[in-house]
Amino acid sequence: MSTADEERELIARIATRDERALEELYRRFEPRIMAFAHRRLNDPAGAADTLNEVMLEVWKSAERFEGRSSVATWILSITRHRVIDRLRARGGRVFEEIDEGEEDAGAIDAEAALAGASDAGAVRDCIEELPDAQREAVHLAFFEDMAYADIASIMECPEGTVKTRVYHAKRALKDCLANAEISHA
Amino acid sequence: MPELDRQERRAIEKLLPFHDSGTLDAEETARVERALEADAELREELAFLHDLRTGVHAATEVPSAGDLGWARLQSSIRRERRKELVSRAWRPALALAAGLALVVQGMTIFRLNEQNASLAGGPPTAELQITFAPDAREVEIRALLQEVGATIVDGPGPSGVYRLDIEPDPAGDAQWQALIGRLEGNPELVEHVARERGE
Repeated sequence: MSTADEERELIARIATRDERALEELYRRFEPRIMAFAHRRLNDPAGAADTLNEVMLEVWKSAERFEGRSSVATWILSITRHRVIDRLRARGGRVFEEIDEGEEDAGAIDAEAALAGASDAGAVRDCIEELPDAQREAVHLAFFEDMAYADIASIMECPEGTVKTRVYHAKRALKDCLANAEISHA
Repeated sequence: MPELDRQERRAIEKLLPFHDSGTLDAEETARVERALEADAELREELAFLHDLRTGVHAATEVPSAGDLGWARLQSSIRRERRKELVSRAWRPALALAAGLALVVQGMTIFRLNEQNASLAGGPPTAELQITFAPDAREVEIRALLQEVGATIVDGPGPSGVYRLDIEPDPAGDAQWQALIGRLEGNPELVEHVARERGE
């Protein structure tokens, strides 16, 4: 049985109020929900609250899961909504309008960028500088290794927008990492 | 292999992160692989993306809620279950409230009928006994009784039995059975219906 099938089966068991199935799903998704929530909230306590809310939502609405998306897409989509609620409650901005034009940046020192990509600290700092939507897309594409169609479903935007966001984020990261490597040298 | 034009190159660059994660379909994969074969810069780009992926994994902080998080979720679920139980417990109470409304209405009708009967010279005779489903709504019961020309003349008794007068009286057993069948045809409202003894 594939991981996706196992997760669907867990949801079906949760729909029958099987707490063991919920615990298994919790163990599987805790790091993913925490990482995604923390990426946007930058707050471990807020991420833990989000985890609790998301898993409670899964418990309450498992019987309504229709299986049109994967369980991971469904759960990360709930996570995103809960994170947005939390950001709104904080009174901060939720989305940032970003320029997703097609202009290329200037030449980037590819060698320096490649070296920077293996420096976790530099990568973390550069991701922090990305606009929210790009940071979210990078997380789903590079940490979750998700397909662009799934990312589009989670971010509720067209697939082309996902590809463009990831493309621009990659350019920005490359530029940032090239400079970070120079500053670390 | 021909050189890629600017537009195609851009399209391939946008697919590269998803090629690296192995999430493209067969057609897109073939398109990207053809482009990679033709373009050394795209191959360099793919190498960068691969290292970037490793870097993102290494750079992603995953705070753990651990066992405390699971204990907290269990506690939230227990609260949720209690709420569900309370909600279920309220359903019969709500049905009871609807039943009480029916009783009040029934008593009002009964009194009106008594008044009418005294004017006409005698109480109406109960011809049917009926019990209603616990969650039947008063408005639905009322509609059904009106449809069959029934009036509550007594009840509810200790076991929830109401007594009905039918006006005009069905002529003969076949019509009585047809009327009972109409009432029994609403099992969401009517639990049991029978003719009064001696009828």
